Amino acid sequence: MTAIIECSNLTRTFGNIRALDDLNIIIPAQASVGLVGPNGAGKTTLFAMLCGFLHPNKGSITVLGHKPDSTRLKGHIGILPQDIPLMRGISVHAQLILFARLQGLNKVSARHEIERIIQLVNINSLIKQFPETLSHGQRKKITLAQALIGKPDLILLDEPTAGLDPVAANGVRNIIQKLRHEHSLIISSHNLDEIRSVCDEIVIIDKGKLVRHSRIDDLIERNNVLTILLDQTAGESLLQSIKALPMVVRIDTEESNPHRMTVVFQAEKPDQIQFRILEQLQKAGVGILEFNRGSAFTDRVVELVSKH
Amino acid sequence: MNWKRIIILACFDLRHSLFRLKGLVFLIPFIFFWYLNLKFLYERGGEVLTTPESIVIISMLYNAQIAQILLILYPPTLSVFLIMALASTPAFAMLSGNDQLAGDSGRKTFRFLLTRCTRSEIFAGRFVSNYLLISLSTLLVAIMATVISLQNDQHPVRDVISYAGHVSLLLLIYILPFVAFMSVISALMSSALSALLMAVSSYVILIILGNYLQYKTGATVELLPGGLKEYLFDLNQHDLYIGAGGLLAFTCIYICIGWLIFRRRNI
Repeated sequence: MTAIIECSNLTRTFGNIRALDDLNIIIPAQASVGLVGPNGAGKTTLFAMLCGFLHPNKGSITVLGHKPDSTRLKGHIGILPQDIPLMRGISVHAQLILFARLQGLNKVSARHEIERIIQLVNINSLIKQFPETLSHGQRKKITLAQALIGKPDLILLDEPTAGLDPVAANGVRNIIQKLRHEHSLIISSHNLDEIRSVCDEIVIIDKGKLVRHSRIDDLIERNNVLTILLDQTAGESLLQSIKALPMVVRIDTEESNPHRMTVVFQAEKPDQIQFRILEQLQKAGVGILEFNRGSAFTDRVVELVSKH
Repeated sequence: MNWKRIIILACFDLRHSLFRLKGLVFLIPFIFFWYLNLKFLYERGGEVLTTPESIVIISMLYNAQIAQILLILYPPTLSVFLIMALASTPAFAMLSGNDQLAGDSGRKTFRFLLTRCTRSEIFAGRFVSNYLLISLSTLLVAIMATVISLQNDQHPVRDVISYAGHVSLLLLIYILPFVAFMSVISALMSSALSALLMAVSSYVILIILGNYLQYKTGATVELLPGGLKEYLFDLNQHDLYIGAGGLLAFTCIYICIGWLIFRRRNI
């Protein structure tokens, strides 16, 4: 499979801080990848290096088969950077036209492309305004719009929904859902539900090092795990009664969230064990807030990062 | 390098410089300066410029031979315009070029361009745009000075037009290294104001250093393109070539330094 991104021993330091530390990643084409990690993990630095904003101190990096500053790469990547201002005193429309022209479109095609983008991101009312007069959420939409101009092969989205109201964030998620079928996407986000709903793969980095790169499906145990969120802490007698059920292998509880428990079981007919567990909960008079088949994605990611 | 992208970047920057602080910081003092000077040349220039007092003043600034050539042999209005333009070019280049790269590098707005064009295209686009801004403004003033010269100076029309072309060409070459000098400064800094202050202080330091080296070695030391002014007054063809060649050499050196800095800096 062709790789869209290949990082080999990638290292970048800022003074004494190693933002990226011998990072090795290969990301295949046509993938939707979630880039996850705690604050300061090196996600934004990685994006900046993929686009050629920063140079590595050590190691190599290729994007779509080219070095980040190669002229052949230009116009094939779109990026939604985190909190980067557009040019002040120049209308949004003029800036979008400039970006389209730089992607190689002539004047007429550039106008048509901007019309398409305006409809896609729904920014018709913002187009004649100056960036400094727009709210944070509105500017985010504009920067998302510029990342989509010219249908780039690879789109990098750095915290695409951060700072947006729920309605706007949902709109952005819908756009991303549409994009994932046409482009390779890499999304950096702290919102793991968002990553799970949009991405096929996940890259977890921490302190500039790769923690895990796998398919999201491989990360989640789906077949023989139940994740249950209770309305109160499960008592010892309840845990023992569930453990005593013939098909239950073990029960995991978390110190940080004692209302949540994960039940691992062996069963050819999983529905039966679900009913048996529900019976035990009912007997104990414990209410259920969430009852999910499979392990919690968020828990797995947190577990991987904290183990690192 | 893709020339089409450079032209798009340069035209965009030039068009928007005219209406933004970036361009107005240069245009307002430039218009004010030349309004006062052209007004003076128009109202009293013809009479005053050919007087012995004027020749003495120019002789003190350069030398008697240059003064004779500029005020007697050539149309004096255009000669005075040339002297004033040469003297004011460093200041106007600093005002127009301080935000060539600094502001957008500091605010990181270049990130929107860098996925679409290379660093060399951005560097070249900004250089061309800044050069066009200052050179087109100067050419416009040169045209006005030519009209005043045609009206006031006692020289044949053909001579005035020919000399105006010569003066304009000299100025177009003279502006180049100063715009390139500002490319270096602007590539180093992260805001327009810091670039302006850095440009002024660097210019002063280089003048002092040049004079010191000249004093110590006894040889002519030119660390800034301004030192080549006197070669441009057409005393003889050889000097003119030295002057123009020196200015182009300064331009190339500054562009190389500026490009090396911009290529490595974080955006």
